[in-house]
Amino acid sequence: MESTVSRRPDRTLGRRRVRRFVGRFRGVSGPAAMFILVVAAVAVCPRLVSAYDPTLIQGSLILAPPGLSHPFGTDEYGRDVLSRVAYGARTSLRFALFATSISIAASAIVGAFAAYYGGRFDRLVMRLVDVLMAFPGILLALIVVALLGPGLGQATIAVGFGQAPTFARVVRSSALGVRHRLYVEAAEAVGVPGYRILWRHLFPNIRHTVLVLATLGFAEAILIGASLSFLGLGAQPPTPEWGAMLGEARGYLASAWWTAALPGSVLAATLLSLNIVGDQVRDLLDPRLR
Amino acid sequence: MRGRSGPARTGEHENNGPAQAGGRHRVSRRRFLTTAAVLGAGVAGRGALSNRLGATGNRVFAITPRTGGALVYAVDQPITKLDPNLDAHRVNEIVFYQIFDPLIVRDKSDNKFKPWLARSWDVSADGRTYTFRLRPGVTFHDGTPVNAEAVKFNFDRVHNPALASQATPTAVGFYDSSEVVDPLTVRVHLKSPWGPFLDALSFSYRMVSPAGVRKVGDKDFGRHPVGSGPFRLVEWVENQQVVLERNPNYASTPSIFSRTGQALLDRVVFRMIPEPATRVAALESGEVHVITATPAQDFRRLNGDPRFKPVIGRSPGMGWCWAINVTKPPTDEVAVRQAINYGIDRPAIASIVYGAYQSYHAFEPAYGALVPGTWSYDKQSEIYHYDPAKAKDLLDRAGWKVGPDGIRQKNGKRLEIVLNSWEHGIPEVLQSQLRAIGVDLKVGVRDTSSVNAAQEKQDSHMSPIPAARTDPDILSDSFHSRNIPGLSGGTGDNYDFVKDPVLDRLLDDGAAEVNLTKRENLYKLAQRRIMAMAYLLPVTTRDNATLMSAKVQDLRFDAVGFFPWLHDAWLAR
Repeated sequence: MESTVSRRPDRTLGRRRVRRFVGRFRGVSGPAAMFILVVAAVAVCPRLVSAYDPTLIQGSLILAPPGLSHPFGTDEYGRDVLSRVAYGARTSLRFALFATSISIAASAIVGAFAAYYGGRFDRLVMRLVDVLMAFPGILLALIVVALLGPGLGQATIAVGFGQAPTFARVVRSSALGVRHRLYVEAAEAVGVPGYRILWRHLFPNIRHTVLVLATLGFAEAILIGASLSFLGLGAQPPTPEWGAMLGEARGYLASAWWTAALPGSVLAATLLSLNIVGDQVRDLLDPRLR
Repeated sequence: MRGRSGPARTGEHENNGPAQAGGRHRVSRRRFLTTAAVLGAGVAGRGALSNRLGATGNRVFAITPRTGGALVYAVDQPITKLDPNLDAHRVNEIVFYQIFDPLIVRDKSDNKFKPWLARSWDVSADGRTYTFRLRPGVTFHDGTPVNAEAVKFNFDRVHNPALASQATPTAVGFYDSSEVVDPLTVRVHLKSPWGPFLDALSFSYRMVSPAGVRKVGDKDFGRHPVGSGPFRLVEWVENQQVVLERNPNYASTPSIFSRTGQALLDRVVFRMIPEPATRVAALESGEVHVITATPAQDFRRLNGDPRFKPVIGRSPGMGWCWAINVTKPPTDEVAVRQAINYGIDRPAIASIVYGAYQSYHAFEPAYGALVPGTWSYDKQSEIYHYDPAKAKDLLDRAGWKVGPDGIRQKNGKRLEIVLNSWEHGIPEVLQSQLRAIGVDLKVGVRDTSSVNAAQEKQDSHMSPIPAARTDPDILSDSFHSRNIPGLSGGTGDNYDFVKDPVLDRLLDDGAAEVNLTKRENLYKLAQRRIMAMAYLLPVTTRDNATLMSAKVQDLRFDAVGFFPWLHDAWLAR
């Protein structure tokens, strides 16, 4: 009764998929994946590209244009913009990782439980989700920040729970598809407890959906996190963060374009790459597109 | 009141407040002001005088003032209420000072009071009775006369408790009554002598039309203002603009104006543009003629451009300074507060954040409770010159030892101090400098009302309390124990929560003293006390950085530095 989802075939299937996945890296998706790898590497080790402390204020170097010693120039406090972008990658990626983890964990649990147990519990939970979905994600995040106060930790929670309702709905619908499969009913018939069925039979069959959601949610989390920081509700000084850098630099567009243009380009390129790669992942994992 | 909290208030409100009678001790800073305004563009603006002449017509300085045209003046906050009796938010004042005239005016060139609506005035020997003789033949925009009855009406209205006026001097219950002696003579009785009264008269008590108030009611008058000033309201588009037009019957110009009779401009349009970059863009595109609160980087970029000229209004009172909460650990320790004061390099901050203004002597380092140039400024209270060694020593001796992360600790608690502000710039540099002495400064940059609310709720240690005023009585606002916020339901501005009987007495005596020498000494002692106890972190002065089109001529600011006299201004072709 433990064999309805066997591990071996899954693994070979996975290997084949990875081969196909890599094989499909044509056009822009190759460079996009490379770019994400570079950003991730910089986030893990910002020293790779920056030689300066991102919070070091240098009065003699205020708004220095891009040059050899400061390839992205310096900001209004004489801080090296490249270093701030590099450490900002760490802030942004870590933020998105935590926020997405929250939203995926919350939505997977809520969605799968609602689908499996159904009935009154399902109706109650899904009406709540409907109410939350009536608010745009950023608005929900703003409400949470207003309640908890500004800060990166609070913003993480805000974005995590802001994304969760939409995800929960998707997870539920894909779990519903699995819910009445024969192997689930068979497991029920022989008296496997509910939590075990969820864990052994339901989750493994919806995790592809969850993975696609996570990829797209990751990009969205970076964007909303940057938006909150842009508004001064996320990262607080002196933490380098892309959105906060843009927020402070927007007053300098006319006098020092590099303070906004370069962090902005990196943010845009990262989001674009994530979405391109997200599309790839979906192409790979969505059976209807195969 | 500075009015930094409350539901209907947004943005920064630094209102001019009571200022001082007399005072010829004003030092170079103030004197510089008068010339800076005139010469600013040519002298400091990279000597671009000849370029400017070339660009704007070579007879700009030779031709006579031109009548006509509409001056567009950008302000940074929404205009909400034009009622000088009840309101004193800076953006509103900028507008209603053009509509309403005061009884007297402070001449910033000699710092003396000069006649405006009052021809002359006497003060009784005990300092409790003021007699004003009014200029004859002056009428409000609605045709009713500016007479003793009208002046009495104004004083009574400002001090009517039912109206809960937020105009500056009303917090102090000094006013007793007014008495009409004859149609053009009015006598004001005070309950006790009040030193800042003449100064308050010179800007805060502006005369509104009693008939105008009766017509629309006390509450709505701020939307339908009727004064006797050089301009009158014609149009008000909510959150966009307020349009004034010339008062054709205006004849009551004070002697300090450069010409008599009606104003030269046909219209003045106050356009509300909250975003600094948008204001600058509007100036560059020619959409507006004057912008205030010009960001330093744009000021630097444009002050040599012949199309524009910078005018700095240097402002007395309290500059860019942060109240330090003396009740919340760890800033309840005087050693910590003193260490913060010793640990910051003010000249470096001024040059990093406000480098562009330094050649105009604006946003300069400040070391005292008042900024240099304010009457009664106390040079001896400048004790906290940058001395990191001393700062570290103070903290060491107070038991704050450097921990493994470089931040000091005592009894397992890290030396964390929360500082809020509504502008970027100084906080970031403070944070970096204070880390060097082992202080972890947590910085939050938010809107004004959140910043003030956080300090009131004791969530933060330090909160900005700048306030442009010509009278040192402004110190009472921020340091007198009766002004602790929340106390007896009050809206005071004592954001350091200081309850110091010594200081209270100095401030009370200073407000009641009429002898100028004695009064000056009392305020000097008060400043010394404030800085010795380190109730405050002064950083720089805080001035009015205005940038205007080169077409705008003869626009000057008053003694507070923020309020334009538009009567004399005109637009060259």
